[in-house]
Formats: sequence, structure tokens, C-alpha cells
Amino acid sequence: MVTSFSAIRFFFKEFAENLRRSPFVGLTHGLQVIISLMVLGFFVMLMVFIGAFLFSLRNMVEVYAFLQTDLPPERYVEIDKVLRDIPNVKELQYISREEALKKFSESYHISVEDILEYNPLPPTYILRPSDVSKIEQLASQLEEIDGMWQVRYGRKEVSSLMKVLVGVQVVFALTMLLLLSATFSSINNIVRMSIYSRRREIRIMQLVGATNWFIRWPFIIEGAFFGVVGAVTAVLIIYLIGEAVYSLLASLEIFLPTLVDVRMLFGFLALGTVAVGLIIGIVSSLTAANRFLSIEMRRIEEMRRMETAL
Amino acid sequence: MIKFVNVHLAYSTGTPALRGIDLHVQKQEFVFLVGGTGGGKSSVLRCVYREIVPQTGKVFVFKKDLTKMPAREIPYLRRRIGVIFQDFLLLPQKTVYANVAYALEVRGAPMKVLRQRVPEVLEWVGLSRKLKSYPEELSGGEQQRVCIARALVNKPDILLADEPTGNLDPETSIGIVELLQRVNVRGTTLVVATHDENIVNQFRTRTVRLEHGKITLDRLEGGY
Repeated sequence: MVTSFSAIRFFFKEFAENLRRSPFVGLTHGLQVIISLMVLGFFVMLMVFIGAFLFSLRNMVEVYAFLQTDLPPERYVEIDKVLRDIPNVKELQYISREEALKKFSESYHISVEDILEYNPLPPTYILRPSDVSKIEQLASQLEEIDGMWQVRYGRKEVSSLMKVLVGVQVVFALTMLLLLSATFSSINNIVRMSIYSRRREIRIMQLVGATNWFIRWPFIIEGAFFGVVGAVTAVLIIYLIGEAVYSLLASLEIFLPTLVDVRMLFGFLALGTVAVGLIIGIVSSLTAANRFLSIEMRRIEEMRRMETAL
Repeated sequence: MIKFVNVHLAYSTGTPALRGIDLHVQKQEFVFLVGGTGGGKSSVLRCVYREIVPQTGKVFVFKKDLTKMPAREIPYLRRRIGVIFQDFLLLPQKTVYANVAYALEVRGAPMKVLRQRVPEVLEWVGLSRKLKSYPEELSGGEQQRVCIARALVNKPDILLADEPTGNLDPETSIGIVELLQRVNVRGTTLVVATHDENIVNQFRTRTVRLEHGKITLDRLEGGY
């Protein structure tokens, strides 16, 4: 492992030599890294927006529990107590028969009591589940309560919403995997080309007693460099495009719902992309170096064997 | 210093390279390994710097059994062994100074050591005026001297030379072997693989002949 300033100086000198040796390879693969990370960044932003929208829909899911109208008063008190003790409920709202009637009249501008001469609306509880995926369980729990008249919620809508959410998560994971693989492959190719163009040096290094870690370091630095530079460039492009789109939408006076804090999202995205670039850079260069070091030994063996046979 | 005990080596295709080699090289000894192509000379050297491991038998270097040596210890073994090749293995884009310094740099040696030891060793091999030259500007003999300087800069205990005069004319070859002899006189154990009859006959030192992977002659007074 690295032990001295001289060693670090040597690694950076070798890394600079790698860049100098194959600038076009570095440039083309570097562009691939930038494009992959930029698409990844845009994709993450888009998914965060879609995710935030879907989650905001999730929060709107409500269960309406209508009670029977002819229960003795003490039963209403008991039901209220039971409802307040039910788990998986983050919000509970009670609407009395009078309030329900008032709301109905306000909404439809008709006085139902005047027409029917009695209030047909039942006392109602509106429940917001803390876990939407368990909404069916909550509904059946409510239906089992003695004195319950009807339990309603958008069964179909909730099920569709859950399916969309799962689908979005799967697409998100697969696309991320694809883009990360593309970035990995680009950096891996850069480092492999560098290693190949420096195989003579590597051979000498091995013969004069350089450890495998010493041989790997300049390539790890190279991988990390392309990962970080690619990520920073991608983040800058995302920022510039994002600003332009925002200015355009603002000038067109298009209303943008504030689902997420865009500045904070961009901050996290920038840090995340750079971290991803760095990690992929290190891992892919390490993979390339390790692969070369193991293959090189076999290649030398083969070469010598052929020399001997001649 | 180097000890082979009943070493058998075959390459992956099954071609035997060494067949029951027993060899003992003492400290500060100068040994010529001679024989035709495919005799096993290079294989012996490669076993010493642990580039290959024999299938059976033992190879001891510095009293350590190389057949049992873990991979992580190989670089430290090689720091005590210098290797010279027929094709020099120099870096064409580096100067003579940089080529020699490289051997120290890859070990993480400080600049101070580089500045002191590299000119010193280049002067010793007679290249003090060629520090800034590139390999392609040098003659074959000079390139081999750079290679020797690179092998010596780490002050190895053993120096292995695989056909060091293979690409050189007879006169230059003698100059190179004289240089190697001086290395030996300074206390370094030397094993030189060669099929250059003239050299072996001129520098009368221990000669081991290898034919088809077997030692057919081991003569202290030398001669091809």
C-alpha cells in the first residue's frame, strides 16, 4: 500500500503519463462517461418528480366509514374508542350527521332535510392509512365493527396506484442498472487501453519488485479521475439545462407544482452523481487492473512456452 | 544462495522443461548456464525469480522455499534479485536516467536516494555521459549496460542474466561479461544463461550444461 510521498508522486506522474499516451481514447470514453452520468442524473430527477407525485397521491387515499344511524348513543362512544385504537391510521376525522348534512347542502345547494323531512346522512369517520398497501386489511377491520353500515374507499384506484408505483420502481431500478453498467464499461475500457499501452512498464515493475498494489494505483487514480470529471461535467450540464428549462417555463407563466424542493434535490443529485462516478471509477479500474495482472501472468507463461518450443 | 532439489517442470501443454534438476549455487558464485535452445536455461532463471513454479521438487532462494512462497511475498524476493534480458526491456520514451530510476521509483524510494544512486550506478557501468539519452540513441552494448544499471540500482544479492549478449557483436559481448564479472567481484551472486561459446570459454568459471531439461555437465573450471 501507499507509504510515502515519493510513491504518491510516482502514482500521479504515471497517471499523467497514461493521459498523455492515449488522449483520444480518454476523450471518447470520457464523453461516454459524461453522457451516461448525465442521462442518469436527468433520469434520477425525473423519477424523483414522478415518485413525489405518486406519493402525494398516496397521501390522498382515504377510507370512509359510515355508521348506522339508529345506534344507542353509548355505542357511538364505544365505536369512536375502537376506531381511535386501530393501528395503521395516521389521521382520523369525525363528521357528525349535522356536519355531513351541512356540507352536502353547501356542495349541492339543496336542503335534503326539507325534501325528506329527516336527515338521512350517517355519522362518518374519514381515516387516512399510514401504509396504503394495507388499506384492504384496514377496511375489513372496519367492516367487522358492530354498528358499521358501510366502508368505502377507492379500491380499484388504490390497487392501480400500487401497481404503477411498483412498475415505476422496477423501471427505475433497471434503467439505473443499465446506465451504471454503461458508465462502468466506459471507464473500464479507458483503463484497459491504458494498461495495454503500458504493459511493458508493468512487466518491468513486476520484475524489479513492485507490489501489485503499487502497479494498480496509477490506474485507480485514472479511473477515479474519469469518474469524478465525468460526474462533475454531467452535473454542470444538468444544472445549466435545468436553469434554462425553469426560466423558459417561468417566462411562459406555466404553473409548476412544488412537489419537491428543486434546489435541495439538485444538491443531493450533484453529490450523489459525483460519489457514484468516483465509486464506479475506482471499482471499474480495479477490475481492469486485476484482470490484466492475472491474465498477464498466463500470457507470459504462454509466450515463454512458445519460445521454448521453437 | 540458490538450491534446486529434484525439480521437474512442464508447461501447460505438457512439454517438459526441467527434468529432475539438482543445482546448488553458492553465495558470490559466478555460474554460466549453457546449452541449446529449449534446454531449460531460461526456465531455471524464471524459477529463481519465481515467475514459474515447478510441479515437483523444491527451489530455495535465500533459504526460502519458493514453491511455498505466497504471491504477496514475491515482490520482496524480486527486490533482492536483478534480472537482465536479451531484448533489454527498456522504456523507449524514457531517458537512460529515467529508465534506471524507474526501478527505484516503483519501490517508492525517496528522491534523495534516486538522485544519489542513479548517477552512481550509471557511472559504474560507464554511461555517466548518456544520462539524458534515449534508448534508441544508444548502441546495443550501451542499452545492455542501462539494463545492467537498472538491475544493479537496487543493490541485489543475485543477478540473473538471460542471454545478455544474444543481440551483441563478439567484442561488445566481452565488454558486457567483463562488466558482469566486476559485479560478481563486488559480491553479487551471478547466474548467466548463454549459448555464446566464446564467452564461456574465455571467462573460465563454473559452467552448468542443460540439455532437454537435464544437467549433463557441471564443471567448476568452466568451458563450453
